[in-house]
Amino acid sequence: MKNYLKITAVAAMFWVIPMAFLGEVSVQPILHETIRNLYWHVTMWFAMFILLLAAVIHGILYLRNNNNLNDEKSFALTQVALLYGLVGIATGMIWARFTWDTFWTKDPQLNGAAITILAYLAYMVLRSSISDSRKRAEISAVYGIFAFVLMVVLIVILPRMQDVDSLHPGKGGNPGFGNYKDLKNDMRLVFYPAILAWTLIGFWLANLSFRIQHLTRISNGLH
Amino acid sequence: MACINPVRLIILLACLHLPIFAGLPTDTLVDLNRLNGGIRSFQVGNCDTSLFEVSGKGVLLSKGNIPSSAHPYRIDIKSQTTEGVYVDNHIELWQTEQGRIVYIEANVIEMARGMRKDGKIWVVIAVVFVLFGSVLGYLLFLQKKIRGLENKIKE
Amino acid sequence: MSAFIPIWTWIRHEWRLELRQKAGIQGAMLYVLVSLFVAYQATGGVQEAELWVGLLWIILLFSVVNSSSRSFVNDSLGRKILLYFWLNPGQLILARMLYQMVFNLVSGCLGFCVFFLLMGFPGTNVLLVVILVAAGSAAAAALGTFMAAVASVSGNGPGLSAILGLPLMVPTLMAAAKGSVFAMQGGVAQAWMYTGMLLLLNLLTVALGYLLFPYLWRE
Repeated sequence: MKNYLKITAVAAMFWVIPMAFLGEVSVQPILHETIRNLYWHVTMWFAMFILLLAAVIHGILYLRNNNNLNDEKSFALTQVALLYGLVGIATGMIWARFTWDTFWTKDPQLNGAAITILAYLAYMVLRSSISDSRKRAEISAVYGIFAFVLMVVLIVILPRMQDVDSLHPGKGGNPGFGNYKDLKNDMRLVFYPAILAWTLIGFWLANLSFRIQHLTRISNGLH
Repeated sequence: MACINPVRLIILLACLHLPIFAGLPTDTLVDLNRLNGGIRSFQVGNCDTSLFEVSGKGVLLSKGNIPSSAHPYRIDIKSQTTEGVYVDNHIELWQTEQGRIVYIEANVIEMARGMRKDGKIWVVIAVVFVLFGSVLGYLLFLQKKIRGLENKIKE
Repeated sequence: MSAFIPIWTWIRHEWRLELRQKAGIQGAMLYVLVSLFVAYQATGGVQEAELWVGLLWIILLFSVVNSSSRSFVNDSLGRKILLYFWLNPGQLILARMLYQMVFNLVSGCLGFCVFFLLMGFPGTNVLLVVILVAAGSAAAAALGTFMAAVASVSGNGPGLSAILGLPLMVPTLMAAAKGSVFAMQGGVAQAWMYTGMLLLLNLLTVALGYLLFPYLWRE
């Protein structure tokens, strides 16, 4: 991975960390100061989406070119995306505990998030159950595309269609995500760099994971 | 509202075509300046602008006669007082033939402004930097190791 | 249209095979009836719409997963070679998906009838609920078929197809369950919206399956 991207990631993170605590934020009832979690929890979900998109692209590239590297990269990206998803749910639960007094609630986006994690855990099970590397690559690419389209797209569409009574920002009369910028635009200045930082760090992690697996495979005499 | 403690402060006023606060124009409904204790700035969230308006000093005025209706009129105003406290005001106004009832809920939105900003916040930032720095250091270490292995295999 | 002839022939062939293998239809019927009886014995009729719908869809899910996961599993090597030379992969997956969709649609409706008889019907709009049952079973069956294909190519059998299929089936089932609750409580417009969503999901699954199956079939 190019060095300038890694430096950008670190620089963006160094900007986000102090500004997340020091910066001016929109003052909302119920949320109070916890709105700063927006910079961590929500940005992580965005980054996970981007990582999964990259994984699907590598899957499609594999199906076209039959190049094993594409499959390994797709797997590494999905691994990191799964990690981000689990951390995203954990941070969401912590946030919920403090603002809504409960760890989980009946909300379409939470359901969608949980199901995505299940689907990608199934992907991991699938990968580990096949030993032939070519078969494994093809099947994971196909399942990955399927899972991405069905799951992540439906997390975006399905909650918008239902008008649900929920505390999750954007539903049931709560100020939507766009309204958090009502008092100041300063939040955008921290939000977008945070997405950039998480995404690039995700790519970096995936890159390292991919190289380790590649080396392991070479040293085991396979490939 | 000089003290910051009360989380909720509910006032119920009944007004029969009389001015609520002496000295102010007769169509004044709520004087947020008095209610919240000095307003520095405010923001109107939800207000029927054909019937009401909020003046520069945070006074909610009615523009002429308010038609009576079965449900109340709801107005949301978020204000910041001169002390820096944020208050979320929900106002509901029932207008009937006999008169008018104004119901106000003023919630103080607690933010950690004053207390944290005088030094303790830097501890938090420093801790997060240390955590991130150690993760970053581990990433760089891994990267160096992997690059070494890859170079060794190339030969 | 001539491209459809092999598909139709294969569907008829599958049906004949199914009739020959007693285990298939009877197994599905058995699963549904046993679970229905257990539910009936435990509850003796349900009055709340949400609970009723929940039980119905769990039982239907069980039956759909079972029948669709058997669709690719029983292919012996001889049959696989026959299929490889006779149908192109897109036609095969379409044939199997359509067959499973119709089969599960019918078995879902039959299951609904027995459920209706045993547990009563706390609500209105029976026909709309039947439509939702049909659409939901078909959509879930299409997904289950594709996952069975994936599992069979990986060589690991029907258990894997359930693991793969169930997370992806959850949006379908959620849409079907919510739609059924709306239909029973009189919200006809929302129920139709959910039916539309189910049909879209079904179409999406079939389209994706048709596009992606050839890559699996290269084995």
